[in-house]
Amino acid sequence: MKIKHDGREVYIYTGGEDHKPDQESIVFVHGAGMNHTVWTLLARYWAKAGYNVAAVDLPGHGLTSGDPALTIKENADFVCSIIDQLKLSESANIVGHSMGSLVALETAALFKSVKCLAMLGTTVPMLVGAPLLDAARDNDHASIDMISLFGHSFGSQIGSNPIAGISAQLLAERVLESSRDGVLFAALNACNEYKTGLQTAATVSCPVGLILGEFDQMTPRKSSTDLLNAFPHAREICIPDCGHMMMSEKPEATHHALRQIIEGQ
Amino acid sequence: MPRHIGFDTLMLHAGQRPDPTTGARATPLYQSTSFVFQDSEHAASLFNVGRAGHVYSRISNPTVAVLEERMAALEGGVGAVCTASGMAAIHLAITTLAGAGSHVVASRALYGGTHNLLAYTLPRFGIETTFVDPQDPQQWQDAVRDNTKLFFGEIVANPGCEVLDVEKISTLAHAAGVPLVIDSTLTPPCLIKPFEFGADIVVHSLTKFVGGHGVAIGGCVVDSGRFDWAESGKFKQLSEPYEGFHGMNFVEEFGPSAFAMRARKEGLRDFGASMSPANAFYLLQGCETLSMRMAKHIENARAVVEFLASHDAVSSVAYPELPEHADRDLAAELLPNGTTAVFSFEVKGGRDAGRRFIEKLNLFSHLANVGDAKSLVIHPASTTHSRMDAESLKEAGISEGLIRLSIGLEDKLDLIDDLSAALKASQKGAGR
Repeated sequence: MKIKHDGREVYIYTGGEDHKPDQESIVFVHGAGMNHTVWTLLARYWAKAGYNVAAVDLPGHGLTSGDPALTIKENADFVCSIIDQLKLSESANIVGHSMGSLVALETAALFKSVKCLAMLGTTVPMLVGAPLLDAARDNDHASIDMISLFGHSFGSQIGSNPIAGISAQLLAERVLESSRDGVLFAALNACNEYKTGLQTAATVSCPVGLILGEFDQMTPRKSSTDLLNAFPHAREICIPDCGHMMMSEKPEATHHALRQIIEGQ
Repeated sequence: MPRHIGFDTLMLHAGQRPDPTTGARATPLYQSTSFVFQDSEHAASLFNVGRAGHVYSRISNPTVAVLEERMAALEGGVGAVCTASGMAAIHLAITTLAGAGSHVVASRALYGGTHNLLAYTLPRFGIETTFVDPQDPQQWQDAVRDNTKLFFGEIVANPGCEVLDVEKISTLAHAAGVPLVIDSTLTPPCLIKPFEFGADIVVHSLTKFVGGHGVAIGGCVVDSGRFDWAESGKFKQLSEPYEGFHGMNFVEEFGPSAFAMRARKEGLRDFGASMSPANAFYLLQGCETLSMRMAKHIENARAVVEFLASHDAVSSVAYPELPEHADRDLAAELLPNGTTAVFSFEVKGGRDAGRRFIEKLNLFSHLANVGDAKSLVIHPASTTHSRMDAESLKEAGISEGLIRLSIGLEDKLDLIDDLSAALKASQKGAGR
């Protein structure tokens, strides 16, 4: 659905179901240069399971108009205000991937009624290499190639996608290609500049789950230890043979991991 | 900077990793109509597209999916859907984009079966086609109507070998708000990747060079993932809720893979022209050696073309690498690794000489196929293009004496010996 928010048109994917009062909610936040389509399977599952799903396109991303936000906090403020506008703040679960995981972290810290936080493909700090930042600044396709190659495990580059006939790697490239000029750089730079994640994590009292890919080169699993330890209540689920793009690389394993976190298994 | 996995590696591996259950290195043949649900919630989730997995082999199958992902990787597309045949692939591509009241602009230099579909069969279902000279951009542009839904052409036309300027025609298609659909059967992706020149959808008869062995029929549709269906405004079946699938809006929910998803979830589900797992298994065996075979096909074709072009009994040879071919420069630009191994030539003496030639061949097999490892021959005017009237035949560049050859992998000297003897006989008027 599209809503008007603060002078811009905002797209929110609901998983194919309308929101209903008194249902628990799940808010999905995508990564840099991506959009709501990275959540389609999960969004459809949780919407059918009786949750109000809101997979939001961040400012400038996907079908949401306007300029991209320049910081993680600015993105989090945007998500918080969308949650308010949709009246989802009671019993909301916040799920974010990559840059979206940092936005989800800040969102969870702002909403004390958050039921749980799931951070996929995450680490703090989330530093971005100069070659990638430079290429993204120039809107050079090399930035997409780098994310495509570093973001997928070797196995995922070979393929064997459980979504029949679809190349997970080329799908990610096409989503990034559809991003407007300047959006990818703004998002990557926001990740690079975000320094306060560990302090924020210490204030998050809800249950937290980190879902990490065994072969993630963009946010390596071992680099997430400090973040995991910064939360009062957090656990880690590692997805074997998986890179950074777990929702498309290993959709079934990601489905089960998220269920463990949200359903408290 | 790391690099993407190379073509020959993808040819062998794309879409398949050693079987996690058995360790099988080769792609297992999952000869099963259907797949057991884990529980009722899993079943409901698969039907709702909330989980990934296979339900019923008309819609998807693990062996077929390997071939689909491999073809997507080789063409550089976001996804692919395999079909029962090449014609089924063309039908699936067109019917996913067009319906009653729609219009197609197509090259008039097409495989005869495609011409039949567009000229005679689809009009019964309300889809009209305007055929244009593939070399004349103005004709493509002038043929566009408000209800035009796609442009259609072949890179190297069968059998006249006209070469399509893919970049130019794709630009015209996009200006009209429609995709360019390319039948690249005679030019597999080791020769050209049409998406790199602006094409939006590629179809193949996998029966031909990709399989190569002549034992399995199959086709595929590959989606580049780059056409903006919503921006075009001409494809509400992709950009608005579809009541036939839970109100799904394919563009909003699948983004760049909207076309491929719709083709599977509507086209395979409802028309049902799906590929059998056994045929996918056979075609995968061929696919593993595609680039090596094509190099030999091209080498042999060039030797045969050189022989025919200098033979007294041959009045013309239509091969894009010959100096006199009108599309030589374009062919060199688009197809630097070789144009194709299917081409035509004309025997002096017309239809009778052509008949005598074909009947005297020993090594070449007289049949209706191309792209086999074995060399093949046919007389298009009396077989593959027999349903075209004289004017259509002329427009498609098919004369009464035209012979189509598909050059295989045999010793090229044996091929030339066979052709030499048959040409000699064709001019004597002697029967077998």
